[in-house]
Amino acid sequence: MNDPHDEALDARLRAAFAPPAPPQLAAMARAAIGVPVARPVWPWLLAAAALLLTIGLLVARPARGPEGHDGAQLGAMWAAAYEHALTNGFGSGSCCDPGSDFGLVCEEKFAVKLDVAGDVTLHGCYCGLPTGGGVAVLADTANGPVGVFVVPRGQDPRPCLPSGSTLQLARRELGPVVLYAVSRGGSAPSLAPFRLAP
Amino acid sequence: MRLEPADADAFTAAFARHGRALWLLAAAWVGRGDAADLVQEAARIAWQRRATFAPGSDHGAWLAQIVRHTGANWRRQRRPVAQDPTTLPEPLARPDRRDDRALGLDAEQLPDELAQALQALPEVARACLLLHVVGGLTFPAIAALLEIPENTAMSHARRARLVLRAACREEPAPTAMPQTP
Repeated sequence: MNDPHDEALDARLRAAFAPPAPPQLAAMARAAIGVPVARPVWPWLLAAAALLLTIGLLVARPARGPEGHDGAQLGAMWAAAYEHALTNGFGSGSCCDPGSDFGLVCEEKFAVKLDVAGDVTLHGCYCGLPTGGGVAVLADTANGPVGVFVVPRGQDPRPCLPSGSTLQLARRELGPVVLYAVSRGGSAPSLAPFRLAP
Repeated sequence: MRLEPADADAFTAAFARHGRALWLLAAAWVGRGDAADLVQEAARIAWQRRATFAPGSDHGAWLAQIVRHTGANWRRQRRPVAQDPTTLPEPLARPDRRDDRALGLDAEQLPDELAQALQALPEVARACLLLHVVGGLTFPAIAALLEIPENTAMSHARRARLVLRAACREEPAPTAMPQTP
């Protein structure tokens, strides 16, 4: 093996069969097993954080009423509408539409027909001040006049009456809609007579 | 099978550690031009069969076995099919030209006589020579990679060198080969 020609022969073999560099060999292995070259993780973390933030904002965003009002705005509008109805001859033609059919209006607006049972007299849909969308109806009950406001479940910002108001507010979920009743008096009005029509 | 990044990193590192020897082995089996493809294919197969590797055994020998078997399959698949000589195209400029594609070498890399002599060697002998001369591996290491006795590895390398040495002497002038004193 120590022939003087061997060194030249070896040099030729080394030149002709020079293997690739180790990083190239590692890259071959990575490519073969489908593992990408390590990339920085921070862009993925940033994207994930942005996604979580977006989802969080969407989830945490308070619900809005049918016309985009928040709970306080809607409550104030309802309170004003109820007071307006009371001062304008509750149930008279000046503030409500006696010809309107509450059940039919609800069916048109929410695809659900509502009905009233028991000792409740509906005067028709309220048509005075703005009520923030939904359906508003004036009713006389055993406990006095009540303003009933109906909104879809997905557009229920949980209205609240203005601070200092002496009015009462009751809430009842009924199928795909939520009913609110505004009334005067010491106790919250009952929404029990309202039901889904068959 | 689920890809565990840690496993993949360890596998890649192990493969890269033996990469030079595996590439030389591949070059001995299928030639220089196809060696990288064979190494990559062997890596793919090894990764798929990694569960069959016995912990504690020689990882290099296991990978080398996959390279050899895969290389043997490639050679079988690429064996030329007999053709009707009347349908063969006319030879081009050099009718006696060697099959450059066999070892993936051209005349600039290795003179024709040497390349032909190298190509005529059995794969194992070629591997012993390349692993020893180019890879700098010891004969025990070569024996482990090829799963042959150490003396056999040594004999293969010695005979291969004698064949190449003889080819060098036949090499026509002017070449880069050193003149005999």
